[in-house]
Amino acid sequence: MNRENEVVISHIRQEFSIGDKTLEVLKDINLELQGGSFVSVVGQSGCGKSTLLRIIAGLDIPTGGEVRIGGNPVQSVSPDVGILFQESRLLPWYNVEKNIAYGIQEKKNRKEIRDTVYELIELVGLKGFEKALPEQLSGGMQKRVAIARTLAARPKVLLLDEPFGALDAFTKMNMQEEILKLWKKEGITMMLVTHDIDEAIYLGEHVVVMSPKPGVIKRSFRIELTSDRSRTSAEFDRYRKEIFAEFFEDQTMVPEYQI
Amino acid sequence: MKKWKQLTGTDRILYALSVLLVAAILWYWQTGTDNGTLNKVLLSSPENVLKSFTQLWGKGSLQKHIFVSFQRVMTGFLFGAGAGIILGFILAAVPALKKLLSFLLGLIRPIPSMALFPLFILWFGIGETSKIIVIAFVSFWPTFLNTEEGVQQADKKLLELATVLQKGTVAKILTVILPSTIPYIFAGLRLAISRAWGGVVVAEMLAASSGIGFLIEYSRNMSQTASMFVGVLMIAIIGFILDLILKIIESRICYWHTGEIK
Repeated sequence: MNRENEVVISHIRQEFSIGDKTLEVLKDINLELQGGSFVSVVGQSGCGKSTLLRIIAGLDIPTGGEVRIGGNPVQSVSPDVGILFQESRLLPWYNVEKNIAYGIQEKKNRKEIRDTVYELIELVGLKGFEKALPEQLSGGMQKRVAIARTLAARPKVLLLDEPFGALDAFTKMNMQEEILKLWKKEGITMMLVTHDIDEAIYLGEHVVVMSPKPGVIKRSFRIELTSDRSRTSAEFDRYRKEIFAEFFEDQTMVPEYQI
Repeated sequence: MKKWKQLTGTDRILYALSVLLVAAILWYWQTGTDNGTLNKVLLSSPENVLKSFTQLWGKGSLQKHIFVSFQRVMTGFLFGAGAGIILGFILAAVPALKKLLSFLLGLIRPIPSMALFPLFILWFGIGETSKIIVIAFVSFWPTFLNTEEGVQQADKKLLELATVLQKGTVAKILTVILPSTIPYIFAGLRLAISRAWGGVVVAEMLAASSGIGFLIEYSRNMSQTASMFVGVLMIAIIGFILDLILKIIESRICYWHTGEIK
């Protein structure tokens, strides 16, 4: 187990004030991510899952509690933590190479930068598109560039904020595959925030279910799938049903229309 | 800018028709004044305008007028637009200063430049300075307002990304804010240059002994309709060319809008 990239979230509380009211977005969140593990967080929109992710990234300061990465408390953004946003967020004026190089954090000379970028382009399978501008790429390819850029910073922890939400179903499945490969290869601790239960099960070793108002962790599942991670297997379906039930336990699902 | 080859059939027809439209107006102008349906004294005719053009050009006075006006426009434009870009960035960067100056700028902005021109003459004399200042004044506003707007329109999500990637303020300005502001700046510059042309002509009509504006006003006094048209056409053509040049420069700098690979 790797202590350097473990994430410990303790007693995180986040409140926003809207007018004279205080909105409790997160209430006492405790979560431990072992180094090199993959945790998925699922929840409806408004459950505070993205807020939690922003706190881990150091983009938002929590009202209370603390996040430690590799033992050090998070105070602001750090090169150790990368984020993959829902949008690819590529600079439109930079080509693929330059966009990837934009992620490099260490001081490097020209040749080292070129080598790093070249390696990453190989890794995400964009050879031949080095000089292409973002607008010339498909959504999936843009996402690959964003992944390569995030990896260029050599993060110990990678936060994925509904990263494939805007992609079509097939590209999405491909990208999930790629992320799994990367995770196995690079040993980065990953935390995925999503509202897609299948995605959460497929990628995560653990699935954490959050519920809103205030945002709390409702339940945590350990996912044990056979190594091939078939989306159509019986065990996959069992997890899907269990997690599904978490969302609809107190209300019977009423179809909106009758066939 | 799109190349002719990239245009669809309908677009090609429409562009061809837009040229034909101008040709048709010229044709009607000529035949109308020839057969007397149009007043030749008030409208001259394309033939006479062309004659007047070759005459003025032959004497070398037209080139001189154009050059003088062009110089005034360029000098005033450089000062005005330059100040506009700089102040636009500063006010966008320092919201407190923007608020502080909001009332003052709000009061000055609606003043028509020509209302100020007599004052400029009083302060700076009837020479070049007052004309250049009035042109700088009209060039300033569109550039200033567009630059400021452009900085504010810089994508917050890209700025957040830059934060996550540990970019400092200078790097953020150079890699995110500046490039996203460029299209806005160019929109401002194109407006500014056409206003500058308008400004110089009026200034020259009021107080000058050279320049296109002077040529038009002088020809009016002499009842030379044809040379008035020469002046007007020169303004139209030069204004068109300047706008085209700015468009070309913009498409070279903002390559990411045109899909060109660099």
